[in-house]
Amino acid sequence: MNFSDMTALQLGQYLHQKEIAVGEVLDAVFEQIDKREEELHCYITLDREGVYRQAERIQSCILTGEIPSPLAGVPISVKDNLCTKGLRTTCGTAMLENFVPPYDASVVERLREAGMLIIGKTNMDEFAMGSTTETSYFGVTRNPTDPSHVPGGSSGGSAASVAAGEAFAALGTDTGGSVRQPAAYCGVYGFKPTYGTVSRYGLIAYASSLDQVGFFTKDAADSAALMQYTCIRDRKDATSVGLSDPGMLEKIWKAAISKERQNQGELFDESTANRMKGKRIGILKEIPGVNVAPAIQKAVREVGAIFEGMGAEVEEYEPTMWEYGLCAYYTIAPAEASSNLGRYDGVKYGLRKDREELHDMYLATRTAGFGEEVRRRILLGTFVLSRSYYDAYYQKAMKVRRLLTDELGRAFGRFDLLLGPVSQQTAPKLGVCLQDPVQMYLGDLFTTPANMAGMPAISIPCGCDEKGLPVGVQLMADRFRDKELLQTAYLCERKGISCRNTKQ
Amino acid sequence: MDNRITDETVEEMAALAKLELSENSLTLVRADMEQLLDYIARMEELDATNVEPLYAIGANECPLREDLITNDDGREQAMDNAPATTGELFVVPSSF
Repeated sequence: MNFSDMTALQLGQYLHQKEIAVGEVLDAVFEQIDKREEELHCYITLDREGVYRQAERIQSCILTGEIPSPLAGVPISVKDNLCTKGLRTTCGTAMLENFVPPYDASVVERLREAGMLIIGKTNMDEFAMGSTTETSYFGVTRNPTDPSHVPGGSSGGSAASVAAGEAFAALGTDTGGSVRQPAAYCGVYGFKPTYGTVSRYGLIAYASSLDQVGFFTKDAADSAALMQYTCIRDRKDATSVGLSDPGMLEKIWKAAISKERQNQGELFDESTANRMKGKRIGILKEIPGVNVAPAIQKAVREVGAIFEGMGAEVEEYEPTMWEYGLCAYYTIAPAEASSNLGRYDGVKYGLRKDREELHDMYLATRTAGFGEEVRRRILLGTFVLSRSYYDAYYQKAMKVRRLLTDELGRAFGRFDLLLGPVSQQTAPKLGVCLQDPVQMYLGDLFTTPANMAGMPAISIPCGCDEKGLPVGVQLMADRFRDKELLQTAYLCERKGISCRNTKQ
Repeated sequence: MDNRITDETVEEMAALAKLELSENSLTLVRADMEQLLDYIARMEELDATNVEPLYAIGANECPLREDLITNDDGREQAMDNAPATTGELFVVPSSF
């Protein structure tokens, strides 16, 4: 049976109906990993032994009928900035090369409780700082569609693992687009929930007011299921509020796996079509001076037209604050990073470069442990927080954040959803982006607003460009409208708008 | 704002960030910082005189809990990744 193309929920069904064994699925996943890993390098650490042990436990549960969730037995990969107890967690940096966490991140704990199998830890830009996974201390990850191109970043390994069939879903994190952009580049779904809905406890912090755990999946229903099992308020994260009534997400993924749907194939029924009637969609107007690749523009227009055909009211939306918001992002994120990364001093964990004197040790450790991009952002953060620059840069950025968030708030008074590109281009070639950091930062224009305002957003795969590289479009919603967002993404699928591009 | 910065400023920032700058890299790092500061200085175009800064999303109150120790059995685990310990204390070079 070829189950490699199945979604996580579909696989879960087959496992729970005992049509395949968990061990068999793992065998197939590792076969695929052995086939492609040398070229793609999605993973930093694989936990072959540990995951087969997990598999045995879950298989017993399945046999006794005590199935913890519809995702039980499904193999998932986890970005290497999320702590996994007893399993090395490097955050893509030399600083944590041998760090073994004594605890699981809360989101990891939730997924273990749901019975998911953690295959390994995926490659990422160092400390999640980057847009291509090229700043990783452990080497680059390649795009499964075309390995001479980047998979995106910073969660490139996670995105690529799902696209390449090396996992059925993946955890990533999104601070300025690090789930949505690699999802678009690799042709899978990338969902960033509302800030505060998924606990950050155990997520190695980059920028605490912007970081959010997100999901890579083969369809929207899988994201809804993952969200349901993880959007629980966590006392160990003071910014965690969870999502009220997560059971509403159940409707989305239950519809996806219902018998009726399986029998009807791609039939798009009346009730589903009606969901878009009267929905107000704001389609992002072109921003002067910002060149979006024709294939991406076309995909956005096509999705807009299809929504219109389903009865939605589609109007142009012209943001005024997004470019300033990007400047503010590259002030706030480095500032928070300079504070968060102050903890890496060689004392309690991580790399230490021995010296005779304490401060010399700090200097030597930090200089050796951090790569160039990380040092750049720490320095920039230190600048903007310093006395002479604080008002002009950091304080100003906080005000710009307010202006941007208010503007988006007004937009969500007019519209239910915003539709637009994820990025200006499809996946660039390896070795290109790091040459010009500011140019690379400009690529985050469409993704950073959702992080700055704490709003949910999803990247939906919509075919490929003329080079065969995946194209993604972005849908954004107001805070806590995650269910509506996932529902619309699910409708896109049912209507045949989106299609995964998974060249395995 | 003039975003040209001096070598001294760069050295001061590096010292605050506890990062070493080699002699060769100082000029490069200074140019790098100037370019980045030039970019984020575009925010100056906006008049934000009466705007309230937004420090954090949705953070109204910090949730409180009882002041009780709930994890006092984690010492060994917590020290497991340390480069040098006495078993009870982290060992570091002295500061002088």
